[in-house]
Amino acid sequence: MLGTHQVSGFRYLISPDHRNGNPHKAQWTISVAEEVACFERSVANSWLEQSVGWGLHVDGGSVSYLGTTANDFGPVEQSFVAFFQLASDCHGYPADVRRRTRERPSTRVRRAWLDGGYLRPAVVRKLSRGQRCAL
Amino acid sequence: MRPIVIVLEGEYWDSYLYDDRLLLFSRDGTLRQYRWDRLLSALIPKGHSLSVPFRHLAGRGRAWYSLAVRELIEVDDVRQAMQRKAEVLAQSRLHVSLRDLSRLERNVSELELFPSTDVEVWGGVLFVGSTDGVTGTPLRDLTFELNGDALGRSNLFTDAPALSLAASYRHLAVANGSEGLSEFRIDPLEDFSGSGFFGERERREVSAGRCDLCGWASFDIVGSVTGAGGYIGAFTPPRQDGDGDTDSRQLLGTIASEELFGRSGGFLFGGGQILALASSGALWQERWNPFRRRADYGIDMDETRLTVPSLARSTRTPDPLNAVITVFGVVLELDSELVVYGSDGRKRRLVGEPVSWRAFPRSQRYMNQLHVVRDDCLEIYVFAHDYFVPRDKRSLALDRPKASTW
Repeated sequence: MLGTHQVSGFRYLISPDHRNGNPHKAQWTISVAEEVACFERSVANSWLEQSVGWGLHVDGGSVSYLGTTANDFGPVEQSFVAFFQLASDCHGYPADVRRRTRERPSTRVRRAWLDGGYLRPAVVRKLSRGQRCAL
Repeated sequence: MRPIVIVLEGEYWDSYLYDDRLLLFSRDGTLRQYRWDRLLSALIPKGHSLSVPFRHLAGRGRAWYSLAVRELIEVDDVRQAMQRKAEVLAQSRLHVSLRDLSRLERNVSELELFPSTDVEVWGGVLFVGSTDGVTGTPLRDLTFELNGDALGRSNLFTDAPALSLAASYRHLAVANGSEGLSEFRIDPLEDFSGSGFFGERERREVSAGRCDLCGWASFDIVGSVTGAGGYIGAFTPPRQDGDGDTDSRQLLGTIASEELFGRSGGFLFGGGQILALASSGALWQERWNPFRRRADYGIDMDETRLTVPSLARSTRTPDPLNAVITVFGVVLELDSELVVYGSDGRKRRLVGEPVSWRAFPRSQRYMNQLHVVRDDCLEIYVFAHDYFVPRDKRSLALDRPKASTW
């Protein structure tokens, strides 16, 4: 359901820009409920820094792809990392970790994903360097 | 000839060998240090008939290119005897257990900037790169003590994301991803702790263009861009003063891989006096000697480029994620394996997606090694084939050290 959701003290807005097929915007491929759950997991695990955060979509016990990147910085690619902007109304979209340094998870969050066994070490290394990688 | 393989049990993130010191970056965020020669002696004790060849192959890489050894290798039965020893050593993987490693451990330090993106050691200083920036601290010779705090977030000397580090000519080149390519002046045994938070150290921007990985071709810097080739940061030849200072090197500009190789895309890399492009299932090469660059001629392609681009070999692989040229050949990282195109013309596949890997092309002692971190171990490949290939039969590889005539 589009609109605003309450998540542990945050107001989370489902942004229509990332669900309307606009090629200049990253697009979610998971449902709205799964997007909200992704943000909830990010908050619950403190995968947040001052004004941004990152999330993963866990499906059947393993991390899955959650969307596609915009085509502004090169060909559209599948994404398995969510990027959240924290404000009075928070919102998020699939991250372009290869081409947008800002959307790459912080060192602390990558360590949490490594320690938690969410991603294979090789994937975390490629994520750190912005290299092409698959789940 | 197969490589000798040493397997270190454990869960690692990265590894580095420098001046008899093995640095193991564990996946628990610690840095553990060992004496490399002692580890070799633990594997094959002194007195064993393979002990000396093993220590010399796995720890004295450059010595095999000395004039004296090269002359010996030219003698057929001496060469054959040496080859047999290397082949016997390569017959089975040499295994080091966690218990053995624990016994040999010299120091353990906690690292705050973990997981790191890259590490580099130059002039006795360990540099750690991360998406938060770069830190550096000297490695102490005797005690192996390491100031872990100096490698913490409060001692970053640049806060630009550092995806890759490469040091040479008293400068640390840093690939900053979408923020470009930069370099920093460094000095041997310099202590970077307390050098200030974020950027007190002067940063020289080599290019604002994207740079995923970096390396050196002589005193020029190679900026690699996965899938888009890359560029060379070209400099004036360094003038050495009495202290061996090379700070006089000035940036002339950059030159794109399209201009160097006449083809777009791929992955540009280089080393010594060789530039290479892995593109469209092939490896292309050209010779590059910036020492020939004339004053007042800018980048001076006419003099710097010694040969036109030529096809080194067909690989039939997609564009690599990373590549390195070494004295034992070219290493390409593909999505789920490493491929070594040896200087002996042979292709060796190291199947499986590595956690990380590195070679040591600028090392004196470990130039013939390739370290590959797997999920549950570190594999150290010691390549010996290049010692036995006649010079005129070598495939694409770094030039041998100057002392070599064979």
